[in-house]
Amino acid sequence: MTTPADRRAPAALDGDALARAFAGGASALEQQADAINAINVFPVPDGDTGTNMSSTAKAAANAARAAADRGAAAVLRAAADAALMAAKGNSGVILSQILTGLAAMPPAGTLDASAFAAGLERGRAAAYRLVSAPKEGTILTAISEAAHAAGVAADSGTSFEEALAGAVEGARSAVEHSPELLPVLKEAGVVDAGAEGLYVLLAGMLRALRGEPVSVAVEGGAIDPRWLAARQRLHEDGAVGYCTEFVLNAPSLDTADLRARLAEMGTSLLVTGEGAAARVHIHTDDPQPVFAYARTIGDVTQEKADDMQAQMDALVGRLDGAPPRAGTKIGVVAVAAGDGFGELLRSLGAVVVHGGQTMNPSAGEIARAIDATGAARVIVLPGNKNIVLAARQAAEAAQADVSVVPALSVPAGVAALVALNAEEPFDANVRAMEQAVAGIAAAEITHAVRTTTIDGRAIREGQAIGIVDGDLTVAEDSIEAAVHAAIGQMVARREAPLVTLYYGEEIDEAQAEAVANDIRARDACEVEVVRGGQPQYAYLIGVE
Amino acid sequence: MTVHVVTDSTADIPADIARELRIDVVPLTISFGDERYRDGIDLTADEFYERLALTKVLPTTSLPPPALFRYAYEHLSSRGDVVSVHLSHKFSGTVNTASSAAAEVAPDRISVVDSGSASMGLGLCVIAAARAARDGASREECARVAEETSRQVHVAVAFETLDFLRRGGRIGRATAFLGGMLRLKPILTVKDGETHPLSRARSRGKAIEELLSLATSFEEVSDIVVLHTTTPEDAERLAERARQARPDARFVVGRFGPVLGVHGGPGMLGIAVAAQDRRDEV
Repeated sequence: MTTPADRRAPAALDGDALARAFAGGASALEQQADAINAINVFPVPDGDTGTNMSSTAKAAANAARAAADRGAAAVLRAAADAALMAAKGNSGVILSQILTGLAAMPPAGTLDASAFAAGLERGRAAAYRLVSAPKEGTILTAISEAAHAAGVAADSGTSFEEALAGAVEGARSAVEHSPELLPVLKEAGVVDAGAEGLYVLLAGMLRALRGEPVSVAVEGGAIDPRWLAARQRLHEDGAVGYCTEFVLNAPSLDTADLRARLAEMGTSLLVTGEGAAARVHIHTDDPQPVFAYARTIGDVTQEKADDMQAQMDALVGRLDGAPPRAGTKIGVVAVAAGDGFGELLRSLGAVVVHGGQTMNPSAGEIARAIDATGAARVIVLPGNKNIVLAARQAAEAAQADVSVVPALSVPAGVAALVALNAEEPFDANVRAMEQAVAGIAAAEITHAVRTTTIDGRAIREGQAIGIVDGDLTVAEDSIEAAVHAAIGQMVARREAPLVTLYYGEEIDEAQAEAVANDIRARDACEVEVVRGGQPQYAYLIGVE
Repeated sequence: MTVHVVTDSTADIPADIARELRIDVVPLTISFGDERYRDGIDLTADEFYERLALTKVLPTTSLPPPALFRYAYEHLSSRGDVVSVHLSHKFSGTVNTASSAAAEVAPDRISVVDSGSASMGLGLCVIAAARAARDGASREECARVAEETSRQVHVAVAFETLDFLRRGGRIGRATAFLGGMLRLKPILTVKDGETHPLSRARSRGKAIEELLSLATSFEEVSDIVVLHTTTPEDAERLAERARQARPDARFVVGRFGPVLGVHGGPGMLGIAVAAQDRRDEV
């Protein structure tokens, strides 16, 4: 029973108030998702931290609302269970673990300051256990600081609201200090996106409890939220073509003229900014002339062009797997982006979940794919390090007996599938696949989307970069040069290397064949050219 | 009493070894359309592959007519006992034809053995029985040697494609290896008289490494056979590597006969080893 006075400054939260707080936190995260996405630390468009945390929080909030009249413990349990299934990306999975820690409270109708602080502490411990090599300056530091501050507040006998306010302040401080703890953030001039996400969630919860508007200003975000809001609206009606964005810097910028010229080149035009810099958003069938025109005016940075049709197709057909085969003893689920990869992996017997670097499938999507194999024992090939945690979570949730084989690239996943032999027992297959994965080197070739410094290496926006087995070791002026440099690193110390060149959606077959012929001539190795159709990466390369 | 060893032409035993060990080979029949040839007699393996490269109609194979077995058994059993070792009954009716011919001619003087294998797997059983016969073993002992060897023989065959195997209806449990968009080289084995998938290699070089691993994964290897259909250099390369690994083993390097060639297709490369123990799991 709550009185109006309790509602203003409740000592402890009942289920209903808790559900309201979750709704506020999720809503704040949703509003800031794009701003959080935008603070990439890596020169590849890796940023879906905001989207991933937001969708995880939203699932938790919805479940919380449905359980609102069953008391605080039930609300937390429902929120945690929903988050576990909806969790996407590393930050989403970590968030779901934090919620799971909170939910492990003794059965009670209300949540007070000390139970909240104890829950955050369990969440912190669970999050650190989850990550094999915990790094400070991330969401992990944010939950540590939040749990610590909530604990200090609770020890002095405060209300729930004050403990939460302590947690918010702890998280905010962690965000602020993240560039000092994680050099890569400092190099890129941003704060940590995951830490920011946790701060926004906690602050949104606090504001909802206080009856304030939930929108939370993003710390260190350089993008005008009005811009993001306007862009969001433009995307609500299903558009086709490329969603093209960039920042234009020029000493004397005539935005009216710019607007007029760009209006002829596409739709949904948005130009903001004053003086020397303008941020441009436009939907166009062909982004290249737009970039080319902008470069005649000034310096173009942060350019990106997303294929909206492909994004929509991906949303519609994300779980597009082979039909379950009766009597299959061993099922395999593989995560990959690109129609070529989808077809290839299916032809090797896998159920394919579409996803990758910037499109992390949720644990729930992977769990459904595991079910779709129809097999009692299933092997999951995550294909990307950002999907390993979600895959592990799906493995725990699934009915089937699941092994996650650490294929951290899609070429490694292909190698693992080639090693599959349905005649052999499950464990022998897991071993054979692990061996295949260990025996392959993989590289990703793409363009840097911003000028930055990674591991002390200066990278110019637009340069072709190569990430070899997870480390950025190649920066060249052309995609071809980056391919050759990456392959040079990978074929060293290998007997009779076989190179598989998976070309992405931006490359045509003739281009890929020409690159392959160069490799054959230079490196004297066998090269197989396969269409991956992947977005963003001109080439994914496997060497075994 | 002298023991004569008989087999069929799918054993792929090179002619000089058959002559030396006095092995009698009953030919299967190869047909190019209406033209029929006795395998290895009217048509050698080399002639067959030359012809295969030129023909549009795929040749077919059929088991030996019962009369050929009767003739061989009548002829040989008048001069001693006979051990007749053949291709797995799961691949062909040859061994059944042999059994019924033996029952008609001289059931108490002829032992028919199903090797459970094909080609060089069968060949190693036949050679082992022929060596025992040469050393004066009885019919029962020679048959036992053939059966024992059949349990010690391990086979791995790399294919360029499984299309030929599939068209011939001999694919068995290897269907799981069909399809796929990569140029995978399936590697099969013969177990209990049937083909089983062993692994898939991404390139010819890796396939040869896989085949070689069969020669190196046992404690003791007495015999190694390497056969090919159309790639003598690959066979030599594989045999050379195997010789380095197994300098004490006896080697046979040769060509798959037409029957196997029709079912395996160009580029088929195989290794068979007779091993006493497994060193580790392959």
